[in-house]
Amino acid sequence: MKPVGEVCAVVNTLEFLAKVKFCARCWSCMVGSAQVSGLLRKLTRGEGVPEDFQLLGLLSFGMKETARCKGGKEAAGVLADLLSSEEYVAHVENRRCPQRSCSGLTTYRVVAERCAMCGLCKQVCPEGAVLGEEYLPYLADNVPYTISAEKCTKCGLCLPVCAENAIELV
Amino acid sequence: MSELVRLQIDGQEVAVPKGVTIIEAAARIQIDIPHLCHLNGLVPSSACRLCLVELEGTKDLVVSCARGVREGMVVWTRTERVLAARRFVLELIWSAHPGDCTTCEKSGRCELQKYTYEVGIERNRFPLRRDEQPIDTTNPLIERNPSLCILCGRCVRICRMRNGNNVFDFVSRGITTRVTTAFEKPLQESGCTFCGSCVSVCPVGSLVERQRRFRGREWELKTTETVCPYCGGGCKLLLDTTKDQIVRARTEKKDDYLCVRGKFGWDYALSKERLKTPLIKKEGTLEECSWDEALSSIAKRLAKIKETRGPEALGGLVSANYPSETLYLFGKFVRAGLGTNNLDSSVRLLSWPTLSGFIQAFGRMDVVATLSEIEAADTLLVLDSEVAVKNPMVGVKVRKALKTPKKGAEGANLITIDSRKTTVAGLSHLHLQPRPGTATVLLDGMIKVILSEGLYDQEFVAANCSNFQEFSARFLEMELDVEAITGVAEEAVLAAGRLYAGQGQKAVIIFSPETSDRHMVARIINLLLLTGRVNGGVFPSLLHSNLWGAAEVGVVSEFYPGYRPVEAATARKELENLWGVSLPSEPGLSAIEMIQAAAESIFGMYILGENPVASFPDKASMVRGLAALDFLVVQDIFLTETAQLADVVLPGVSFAESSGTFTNAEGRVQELNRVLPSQTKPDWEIIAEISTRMGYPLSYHSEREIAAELKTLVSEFSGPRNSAFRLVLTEAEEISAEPDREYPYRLMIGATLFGFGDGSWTRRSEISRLETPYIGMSPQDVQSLGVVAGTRVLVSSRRGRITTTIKVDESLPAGLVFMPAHHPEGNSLTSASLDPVTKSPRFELAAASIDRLQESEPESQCAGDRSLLNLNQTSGIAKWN
Repeated sequence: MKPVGEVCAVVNTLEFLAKVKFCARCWSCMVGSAQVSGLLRKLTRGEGVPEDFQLLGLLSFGMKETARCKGGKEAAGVLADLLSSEEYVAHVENRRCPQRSCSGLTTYRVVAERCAMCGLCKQVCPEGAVLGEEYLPYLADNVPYTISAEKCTKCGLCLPVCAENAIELV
Repeated sequence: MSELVRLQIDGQEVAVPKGVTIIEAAARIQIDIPHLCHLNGLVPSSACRLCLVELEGTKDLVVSCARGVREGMVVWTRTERVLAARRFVLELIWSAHPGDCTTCEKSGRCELQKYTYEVGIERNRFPLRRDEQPIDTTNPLIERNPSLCILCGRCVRICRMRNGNNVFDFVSRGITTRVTTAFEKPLQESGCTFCGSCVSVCPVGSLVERQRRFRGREWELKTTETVCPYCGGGCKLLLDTTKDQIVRARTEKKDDYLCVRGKFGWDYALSKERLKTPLIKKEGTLEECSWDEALSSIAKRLAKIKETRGPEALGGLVSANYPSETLYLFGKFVRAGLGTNNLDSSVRLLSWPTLSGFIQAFGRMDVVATLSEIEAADTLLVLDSEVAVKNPMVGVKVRKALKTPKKGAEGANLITIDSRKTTVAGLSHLHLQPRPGTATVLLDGMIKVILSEGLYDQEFVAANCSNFQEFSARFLEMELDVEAITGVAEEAVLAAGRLYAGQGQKAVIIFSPETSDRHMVARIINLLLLTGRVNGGVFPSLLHSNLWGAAEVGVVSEFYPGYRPVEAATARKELENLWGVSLPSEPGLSAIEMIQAAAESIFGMYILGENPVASFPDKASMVRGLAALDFLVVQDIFLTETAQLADVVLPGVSFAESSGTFTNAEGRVQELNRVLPSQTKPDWEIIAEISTRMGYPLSYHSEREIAAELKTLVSEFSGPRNSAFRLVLTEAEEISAEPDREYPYRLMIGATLFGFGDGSWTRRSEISRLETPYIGMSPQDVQSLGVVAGTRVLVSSRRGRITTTIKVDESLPAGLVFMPAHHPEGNSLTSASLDPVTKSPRFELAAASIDRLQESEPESQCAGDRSLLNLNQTSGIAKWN
């Protein structure tokens, strides 16, 4: 389940980088922040490698030492916090996003036990990723609802329409 | 400032004045703290983060280029922590900087390369974030490669600080930040003056001179110090050369200034159009010939004229763009070898009223201010002069003076008097805009204010000016309605007079000698005398490089070397002894008089480097005069308009191949050094050889020998200084060229940045591609004439007609039109009427009319010109027969 308004530390850091007020005139922030967000995006896509930890550590240290503005130093602090958190380890080593907010590390699936087969999720899915048929009584070969991982873009539109909370993120 | 602060850097004690930054203090003890955005003289931007150092007692690293020194500071520049930070920043830069060192022109001189090597970054750990952007080649001089830019902002800051131009600025944020022009327009549309300061300060290869692309690596270059051949500012120029080519011009320090002509204009010396062999006229056409044939023909024919018509039938004319030694030798050849005083130079046209006026009034020329005195002045009075264009260095100094704190003021006061609202006028505190040609009356008004309010330096005047009482009485009783004549409000004149005369202040008058007649010069002298500013109170912004030197070595008809008057028997005796020949006693003709007297009293002329057909007023009469000569020798580096009329053309050398000395507008004598092997013979050798063949041997082995001989005649500032001065009373004459119904506009001829003199140099240089010939008109006139920028028009004056293109020039008032002095055929419009005293052409604003060109009308020069050229040819054939 994706609790509304709660995201993982990685996405949180990315969002912080996006809204922090850098003066963006010194190399530290100008390129450093771009490097950080590049590496973190890689992580959210599920492409994180252990070596990135070194680089992010270097960026965190370097930005803290050399950034001209307060924003840059703050961002370095947030990044340092991320690196020392368990969530970061989960992202790289377990390839899991505990908050299910990193699209590359999560998949959507329909829990058959809870599904009422109402078909609302199929109606809202813009990508046509939901497969299956609406339940018709007395029909023996009914196709249950599933989500195609290839087509799903993890937009989350199907989550609020399901009255049974039958779609879950893993 | 003198207070010393002691601090410790890397364990070394250093004492520096207060206000110095850590990086500067470290530089004094030869500790180079890496830096990319810092440059002495620029506002610190602390952007590159390379100069971070550890400061004891401070948690964070500090930026050494922005942090001022404090007593007892302990600074460490090479600790682990500092090195790690430095490495981090350099790696980040490299992650966004293409490694194009193989073809980058800066390679070898690149600061990023240098520090990367020092820190030892072999491989960059960060993912690459390179962004390939197109190279800007929209202008002929500066190549911009935005991909290489490291966003240090030096170009942004130097442009803002020095030119106030703000051509570049940062756009966007974060990794997409770029340095570019407003709306990404090409440089020439962004107000760029192409001084190339941004190129000089760029630490990497993002901004380079286009001329040097692929013509030599940094480590192959040999540097020679010489002097810029263009204006009278006389900037020092370092020319970097490969074997036989100039690759680049630069300054000693990165942040020194050169203008577009100095930085990029040297390429005429390498032009393919340079003359390599002598030419001789055979059956009306110029043909290549051997040196021997040319020289013997010259010697023979000059000697023949001398024999049949007397030496006074010969004349010599020289351009003041040659080193003093060459000029002196030419003067000696004409006076002693040819035996005539018909000797003159471009000094006559460009600065004679000023030089002769000053010599007469003060005895010496050292009343002139130096460039640093301009910078330090409290008040600057800029007269009728677009200094930022004529002597761009002076423009920079004026701007600097405005920003240099003075006692009781943030910067200097600037008063400008000009009919145009020039760029300098835009900076001034008080801009008086008199009607064209009435500036002398305005100065009279200021003198009257100074006299009537008793603002003059009473002590100085009483002690030194013998005729003050008479002058003051005559001046005060003179009827003078300044406002009615000049159109400048009385209060403004009052304010200007008071501001200029301010007691105890240092004031410098900057003016244009080429547009100042003797009346104007008299008023300037009076202002100097009344305020007692006879030491460094005035700066003539001389147009050519060696005008002053030329007057000093005596290539004007009135003076022998060292300002010895030709009429004075003692001076003549002195020179007769030195030169070993008897000299003529009667004074000779001046430059324009000689050509006007062609075929009447002058039959043969030797012209060195001057181009009267293109640069003297009234082209038609110049062509007529020169064509009527029996024999004309022209020695120049190009086949100029004048050389085409010659019987023999001798190829001279450019500034890059000559050595000698130039005297700049400050009176500073500077060495010109040979940069390239000469393509032909040095000018002095040619002159000496002709003289020897004519029976007056001039045997020198080098310029140094000539210089030694010259030194005995000319001390650095010749002649004694006057002990008593006289205020000058002259009545300004009415201007004869009033516009009327037929010719409703006043035409002003002046300098622009991208042209020079007769244009024969700049037309063969890349810099001329930045300007097409034009006539500038005020927006009001453009509207009332019903034309737009770019319309072809026919400009006519009482003397000639030319076609050109309209350009809207907002600095001009209605009724005044402006044409660059180097406009082809531009001198067909001007008048060669001479001032009876100085024999200089009177600076007149010619009356002109401007008409839209009909489609069918041919876009060529005036018909009059053609007939004159025909006349020349027929006369050539007549001579041949």
